[in-house]
Order: sequence, then structure tokens, then C-alpha cells
Amino acid sequence: MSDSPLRIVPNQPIKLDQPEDSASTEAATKQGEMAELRRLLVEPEQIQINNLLERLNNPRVRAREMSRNLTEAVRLRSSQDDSLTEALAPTIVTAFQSSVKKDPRPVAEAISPLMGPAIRRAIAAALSAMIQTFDQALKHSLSWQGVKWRFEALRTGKSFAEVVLLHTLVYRVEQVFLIHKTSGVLLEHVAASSVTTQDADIVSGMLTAIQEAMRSFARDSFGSTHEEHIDTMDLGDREVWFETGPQAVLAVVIRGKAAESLRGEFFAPALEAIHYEQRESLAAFDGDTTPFELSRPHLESCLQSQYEGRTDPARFKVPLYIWLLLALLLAALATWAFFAWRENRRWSDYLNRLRAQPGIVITEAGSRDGKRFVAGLRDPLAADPRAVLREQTRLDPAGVDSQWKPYQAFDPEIVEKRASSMLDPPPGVELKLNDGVLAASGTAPHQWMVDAQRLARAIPGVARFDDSNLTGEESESLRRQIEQQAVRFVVGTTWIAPGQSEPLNALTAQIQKLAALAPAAGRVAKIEITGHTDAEGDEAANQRLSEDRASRILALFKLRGIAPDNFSTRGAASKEPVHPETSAADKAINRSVSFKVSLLDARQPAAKPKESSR
Amino acid sequence: MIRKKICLLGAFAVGKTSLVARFVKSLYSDQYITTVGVKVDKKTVKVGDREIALIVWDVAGEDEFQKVQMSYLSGASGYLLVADGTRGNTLETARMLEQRVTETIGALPFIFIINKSDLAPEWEIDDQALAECESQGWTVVKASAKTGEGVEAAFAQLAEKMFRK
Repeated sequence: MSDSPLRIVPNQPIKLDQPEDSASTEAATKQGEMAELRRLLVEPEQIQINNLLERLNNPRVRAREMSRNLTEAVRLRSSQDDSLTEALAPTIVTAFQSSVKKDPRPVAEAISPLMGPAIRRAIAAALSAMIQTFDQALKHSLSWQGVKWRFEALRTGKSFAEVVLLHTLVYRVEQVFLIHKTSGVLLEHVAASSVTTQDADIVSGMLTAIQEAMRSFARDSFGSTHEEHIDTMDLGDREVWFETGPQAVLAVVIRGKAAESLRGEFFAPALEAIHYEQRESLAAFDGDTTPFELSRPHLESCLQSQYEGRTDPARFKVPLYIWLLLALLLAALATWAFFAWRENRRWSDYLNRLRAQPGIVITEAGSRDGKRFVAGLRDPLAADPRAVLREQTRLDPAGVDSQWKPYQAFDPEIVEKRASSMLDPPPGVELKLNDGVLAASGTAPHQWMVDAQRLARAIPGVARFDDSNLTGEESESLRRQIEQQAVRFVVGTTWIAPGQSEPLNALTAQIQKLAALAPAAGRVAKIEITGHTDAEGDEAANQRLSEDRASRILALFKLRGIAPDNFSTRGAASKEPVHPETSAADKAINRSVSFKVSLLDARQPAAKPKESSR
Repeated sequence: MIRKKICLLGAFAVGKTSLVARFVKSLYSDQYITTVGVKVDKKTVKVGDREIALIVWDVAGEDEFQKVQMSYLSGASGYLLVADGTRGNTLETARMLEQRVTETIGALPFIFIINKSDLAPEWEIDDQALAECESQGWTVVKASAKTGEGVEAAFAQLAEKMFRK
């Protein structure tokens, strides 16, 4: 068949190669027959071969088929040995790394449900451990025992922490040796932190030698026949526990007294795990200890310890006195806060009071060097801030620094005070400031009125001085004297009654004095002279008579040199009797003139022309 | 790290402990310390480019009152057989020990050290006896724990032998 190669075309009849020339047609026919025969004979197999080739050559078909068996294949292979895991491990690690590098979020999200509780637990444990340490520190530093230990630390040169640990130690696994059983060669070794260790190789050898020596001693002395294991070696403050396996021995150096349960809980399981994981390395051991580095975690799991008074952080309860201490601290804090708050309130209250004071302006206030301070401007007439501090607040004056610069304030109260201090009004005079007008009312000595008129204009903050409601003491007394006077007349005449010259002289003097005094105080004295008659006779005649009597007195004053300008006269007949008329004596009294004095502001008439001129 | 256990065997007072002291710490103590039981030491040597920690078990010497505990040899990769050149009978003890090792443990690589080469003129073991040993396939090294002569070489040869095995 090698001379007639076949081309296999799926689902098509088998073709032979083309004959080389027409002369060989017969041969070709023969061959065609052969092919036909072959087709008839092997066609089903041919189709199967074609299908197989298709399956082999088409990667898609292959992949589909492989996908059907992949899971089963992996399962099968994994049950045989670990080579698949080993082969896949680098790829998985690389895939993981590249996935994290590309986008760490999916990984972070996937592990966060695990990480969260773990972190929370770790934090809780750390906090609890911290409180525990604090508790221990308090206990150990405050007690008599603590003092003793401190002294011991000083004496031995150890740190205090170390001494405390030594005394509170119940037990501590200091070192763990993994030893090859027959040779005593050290396979791996771990030690607790801060434990000083000798050369572990030598110790391992010595431990094995000692075990051997003890065994042979047991054989020789007590005739033990089978291999006895030594479980424990007591070295005073330390013990060495041996855990013996088929090929390796675990030697555990423990300081203090440990519970026997450690053996079952930690040591035996660790040794078993090592025997299982390192079964090949142990069986073929010939000095190479490198593979046993992988056993370190198992050895480290044996590094257990327990201290007096120390309990599992998770089960540790915060002691009552720590709560009390905490409560005390809180109470102290609250008290301090309350006092600070109250002090602050008092301070702001003081500042508000100062601000409300006329003539005080606060420019700066606060705390400095543990003291409060306030600085600003103060009118010398304003209230004394120290007095306000002392009398109106409960602040400690020693804790307050004040700095005041003098200035002149224009608050009405201060201007009033300033006016009052500058004018020094006599009793009976009231000063009031209203819209810059200082108004004085009451009665004052004439001289004061004169001075006040002059001084008031110079007081800062006073625009005008109004003394229209002020009366001079002297003018007032003269007015009263004049108004008490009455000049009597003879019946029915304008003749002055006998014996009247003396009062008339006094009256003249009083009027002259008043006229002289009033202008200096800015006043003008207007005097109204009213004539009176008794009720006898004709009322019209009486009216005339009364007017004449008033004019008669005015003429008399003129004669005596009194300017008549500020006088007015009128007659009242018998309508305004000076005295109720019931007797002849009363009638005599009513035949008279009376005086009414008005002290008017001299400036008023002067102002009037100005207004009228507008 | 490669760790190999080796043992020192020999008659009483042939100077095994001194040899170890010389080898491990390179110092010599004239004061002989009678070894009771076993003393273990360690020394790191180089074979080719490999570092090997030799865990040296210094086993108590053999005399008429005390036999060397063969159990100390279990797991050893080789041993040093030590004799005292000035005491002829220590060679006999060495022969006997070698035989016992082969019987109880099996044939282990070993080096035969004749110690106290600094006292060569006083030697009772002559070259003929040594040649006899060598003819049996023993590797013989003359050494002195006091001067240090041959000590390093003996340990190095043992290390080599253990690896050639």
C-alpha cells in the first residue's frame, strides 16, 4: 500500500493519485476498483478515524473534552500525592500577586469579613492587657512587696520589670529543643524572648547524653530491660521535660512549676505534628537540619507561660478599685469643669457689668499666665472697676489684672457727673443733662449761679446750660420780703397813711437791691403794683382810687431814683382784699397797695427779637 | 546546616578532653580533668565549601574499672580513636574499642590519633606498630594537644572521611 498513498478527506469517497499518462488507463481502472473495494470494506472505520483525527486536531474540541474530565483528574491526582499542589502553587501565588497589584479591592473585600473581627479581637485583647499591666504596675509599685522588689532590682542590677516577672512567674517555657533521637543532634531550637541561651547544639547533646547515662544507670542498678524514657529532669528552679517520639525528642526547658496538662495540650501534639510532617526527613536524616526549620511554628507553640494574678486577657475583669479610681477621676474632672465654668461665668458677668458702666470701654480681656486680665479706657469719673470686682462679683481680685487708660467719656451719666464735679452744686440744686443741655433747677446762692453760667460752657459734653428753673437764693428772699410789704393809705385818698415812711424806706431799699442783683444772675425782676380799697363806697370810684394809689407809689419810687421800666400798675378796687374785711382794722389794711415780684429770664426778651427778625 | 555527631574514644587519660579543648577553643589546659560520663562540645569546620557543625561527644576513658558506654555512640557519624604514645597499653585499648564499635554499631569512619607527639622520645608505641595499624586500613595521625600539632588535621580528615563514605 505504500505505493498508493491515501488522502483522507472526511465524508468523501477515497481518491487515488492521478495516473501519469493515458496509457496507464487500465491500471487506473484497476486501482479505481481497488479503491472502491477498499471503500466498501473499511468505510465505517475510515469515518471513525476521521472523527478521531478531528478530535485530536481541533483544539476547541479538545478543550471541551478536557473540561469534562478536569475536575475528576485534579481530584484523582491530589489523592495520589502533593505534586499537583506543588506544581500549581507558584502559579497561584503569582496570579494572586498580580490580581492584588492590578486591583486590591476584590481581595480586600473578600478578606475584610475575616480581618474585621480579628482586628477587633486584637484591639480588645491589647486594651485588656494594657489595663492588666496597669493594674499589675499599680499593685506592684504601691505595695510593700513592690518596694522590696524595687530594692532587689537595685541590689541585683536587674530591671524592676524583670524582678516582678521572676516573682510573679508561675512557669514559663524558656526553650524548646527538637532533638534527633539516636544521635542527639539538634534539629531545631526556639527560645522565649529575653532568655539567654547557651549553645543549643551543645545543650542538645548534653541532654541526650544525660538521658543515655540515666538509662544505663537504670539498667545497671535496677535491671530494667526495656528502653525507659526519662520524662522530667529537675534542675532546681528549672525543669526539663522530655517528650519522646519514634525518631525525635522534644526537650522543653521550663522555669517554675508548670501544669502537667501542658504535655497533652502543647508538647505531644507539636511532636506528633513534626513527626507527621517531617516523616521523610526524619527517616533519612544524615546531619542536614535545614528541613526542620519548617517545624519552628510547632516549637513556638510550646513557648507557654503563666504569671501570678495574670489571667487570660479575654476573661480579665477590671478590678473594682480601678473603677473607683476612674470614678474619682471623673468626679474630679466634673468638679474642676464646674468650677471652671462658674469662674468663666463670673468673669463674663464681670466684663458685662464693666461694659454696662458708663465711662468704661473694654478693649481687651482674656487669660494670661494663669491670671485673667482686662484692659481698656476709663473716664476718671466712671465707677472703679476694682470696686465693681469686689462688690458685685465673687471673683478673687488677686487673680485679675487690670489696665486702664484715662479718657473723657461723653455718656450722659458721665457728663452729668463731670458737670456735678466741676460746678459743685449746692444742696437744693438739681443738675440734669438732656440732649447736651445741662439743666439746673432749684435754689442756689446768687454767686454760684453766676459761676455756673460761666463754667458750664467749658464742660466737655455740655452744649448749653439751662438755668431757667433756677432761682437765686437772695433774689428769692428779697421777693418774699417785697411781696409781704403793703403801703397803707388814708381813707378815700392817695395820701400815704401816717407811720408808713419807715416800711416805705425798707421797701425802696429792697427793690433797689433786687434790681441790682437780678441782672448778674441773668434775671430781671418785674414788679406788679396793685392798688386796693376797702369795700365802702362806689365800686367805680374805688377802681379809680386803687389805680391812682398804685401809680402814686410808682411815682414815689421814681422820685427815689428807681427806674420805672420793670414796673406795672393796676387797680383791683375791693375785689382782691389783702385781708378778709370784718372789722374797721381790716378795712384799714385793705386801703393799701401790694406787690407781686416775678423774676424772669433776662435772656428771653433778647432771644425774641432774633426769632421775630426771621 | 549540616550537623554531625562524632565521638572521642580511647583509654583513660590519653588526652581526649585536652584534644577537644584544643580543637574547640584552641587552648590547652595541662590540668587533666577526669571526664565523668560525657562532655559535649561543638566546632564548625569546612569540608569543601560546606560548613559542618561537628558535635563532639567526649566520652569517658576506658580502664580496668570502667567500660566505654557504647550507647553513647548511637547516631554518631564517625569517631576519633585516641591513644597515648607514651603508654603502649593504650594502643591495645584502642584496638579493643574499635572492635567493639564495629560489633555493636557497625563500621564507622574513624581516625586514629596518637596523642602527646610533643613527648616523642618517651613513646612506647613504635612506628612498626603504627604501620601495622595503617596496614589494617586505619588512618593514623600523630598529634599533640599541648602544641596543637595534628589536632585540626585529625578532625578535618575525619570530616572528609565521613563525607566520602
